[in-house]
Amino acid sequence: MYRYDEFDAQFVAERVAQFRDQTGRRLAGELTEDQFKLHRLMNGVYLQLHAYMLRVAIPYGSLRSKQMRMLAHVARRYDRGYGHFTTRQNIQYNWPALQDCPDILADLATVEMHAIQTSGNCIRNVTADHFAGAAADEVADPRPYAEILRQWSSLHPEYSFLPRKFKIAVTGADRDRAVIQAHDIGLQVVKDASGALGFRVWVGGGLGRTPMIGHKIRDFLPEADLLAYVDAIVRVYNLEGRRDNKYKARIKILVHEKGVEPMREAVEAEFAKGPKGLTLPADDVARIRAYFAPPAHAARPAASEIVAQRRGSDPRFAAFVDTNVAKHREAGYGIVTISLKPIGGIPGDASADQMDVVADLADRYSFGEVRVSHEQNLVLTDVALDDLPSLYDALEAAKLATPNAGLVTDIIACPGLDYCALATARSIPVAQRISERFGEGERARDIGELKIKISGCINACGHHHVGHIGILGLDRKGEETYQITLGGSGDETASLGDLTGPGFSTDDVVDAVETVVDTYLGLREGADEDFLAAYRRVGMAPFKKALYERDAGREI
Amino acid sequence: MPQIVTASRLADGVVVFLDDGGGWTERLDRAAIFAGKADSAAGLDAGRTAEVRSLVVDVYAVDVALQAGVPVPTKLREAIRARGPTILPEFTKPGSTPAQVQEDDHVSV
Repeated sequence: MYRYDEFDAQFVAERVAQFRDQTGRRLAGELTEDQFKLHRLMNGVYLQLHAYMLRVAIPYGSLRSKQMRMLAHVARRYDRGYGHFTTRQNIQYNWPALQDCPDILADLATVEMHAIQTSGNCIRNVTADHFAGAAADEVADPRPYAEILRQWSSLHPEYSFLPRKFKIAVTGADRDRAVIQAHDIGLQVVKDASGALGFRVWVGGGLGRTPMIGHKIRDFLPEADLLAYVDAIVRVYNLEGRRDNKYKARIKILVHEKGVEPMREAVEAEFAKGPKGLTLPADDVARIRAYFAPPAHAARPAASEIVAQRRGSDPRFAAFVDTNVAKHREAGYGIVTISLKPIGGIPGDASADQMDVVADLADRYSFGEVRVSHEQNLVLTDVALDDLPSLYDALEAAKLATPNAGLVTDIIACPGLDYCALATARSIPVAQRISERFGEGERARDIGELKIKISGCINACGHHHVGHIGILGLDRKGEETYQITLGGSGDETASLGDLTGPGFSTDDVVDAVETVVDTYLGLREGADEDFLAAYRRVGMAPFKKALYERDAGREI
Repeated sequence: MPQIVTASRLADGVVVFLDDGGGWTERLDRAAIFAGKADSAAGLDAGRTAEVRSLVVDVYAVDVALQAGVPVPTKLREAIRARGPTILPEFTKPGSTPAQVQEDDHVSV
């Protein structure tokens, strides 16, 4: 993983000192809220429904065990003993006092962490495939490029006050696990015919109140041009993006209003003006890549006898291996998803004790590294298959072994009206009730892969537009109402979900989801046809009929 | 409709309510109750003064209905803000529900 050099360390330390001074002056009444708010937000401190909220950056979701222990320490010492992992692979604390925030940031700086650019109209935390570096289907590890983008975009003087926030995601595999097409810029690492590394580039994706799937504007961008080309995109956006209307200020609106071809031409024209010193020197790419060198895997047999034995005697362990362990590029290793979605639990929440357990297990079983996924789970990327039984037992003891990765109960949910000042309805209780309804038994496994994503307002932090089943909570005349969309997808076949029709009350929404699932089970062409495939085959009609014409159906 | 005046305490962000003495309390059941919009204007003025003194931020009035002496906000957002996250009963704020007040009364303060 990347390590701070002396400049990084000094920069973050200076930033903490600045914020300590700013906070002190605010508390002393020397700064008004209007004067202070910008500084507060630039350091990740929001004011939410019940308290301040601190969002800490986890670049491309990668953490060392020592950093995870620090996150646990912050939760325990300054918060209420837990934290919430987010869809930007960051962590949020729900209850920090403003007066403690400088100390929290100072503690985080000791392990090379900060909260810079986790808010504001700047380039936010660059996200990446959470299986990066380990996935069997990967062309190259996307994290070195995410790190290069992070260094370039941190406090970039030209891009600190963009028309609106700006999000970049990078993946290194054909299978998109990083939702790149729903980002302002999505990058996929690919190789050309000669074997040289480069990128496919998408622009203008985004969710929120005006959801759009990104448009591919480059089939192959040479590796060395990464920064020059991304710079050209952001420059065009910075010049032409709307600043008159906050709700039309994202690059997706510019691309939509300008047109994809004119946007491509504008970017290429800007890019053609010359590299402006941004051509990546191969030595520098190699230097950054070295930080992400694969760990020293041992030569191991492809199959594990120990796992096979345990599977035979322990169905839950077998379910865990089937759902939560993904194929690793190295024989004899697996990628383990640690579900933060216990049945009936709060999606993405982890206690300080659980964070410590994960840090210890990372040290023992996965070369001391942890990943945060945008699906609000944690990942150990390099686990020897022979270690799976003991890892599973340790996870189970910490209530972290729910065998549901990718299943109906592996739900993304934003904090919703339980925490968020912007929310219009609660998200978490809906997720909890759906989770309890389906549980972790045979039925949930039979349903297969099904991604439910829930947002508590149209800002769509819960990614509901790209959920196979998306749920959007709204306030309708003082009552929580939930709209359902079907057929959304955040993978390489990205699509926005279709609205089923009128929304459902909080009492009815879980039944409605179950109706959708039962309808799918009744019409699928076999267990191999997952929900998304079935929906794409049959369309909305049977689901709509089941949801809204149940009574009519009974009369026939 | 009766109203109360609420804000967030600057130093820690905790939700507070203007009380009868012109100070700020974390307990909903001790919030000053104004008969209506016209009456709460004075409370908002007091709130703005506290904002200028950097004690609180984001002062506003909230419609309430009285339940067993507790002013319960009529809008869901304000009810959750006053009471705490609905998903974590252990974080329900003291004095925020009629049931708690009755319990307190029973114990006798």
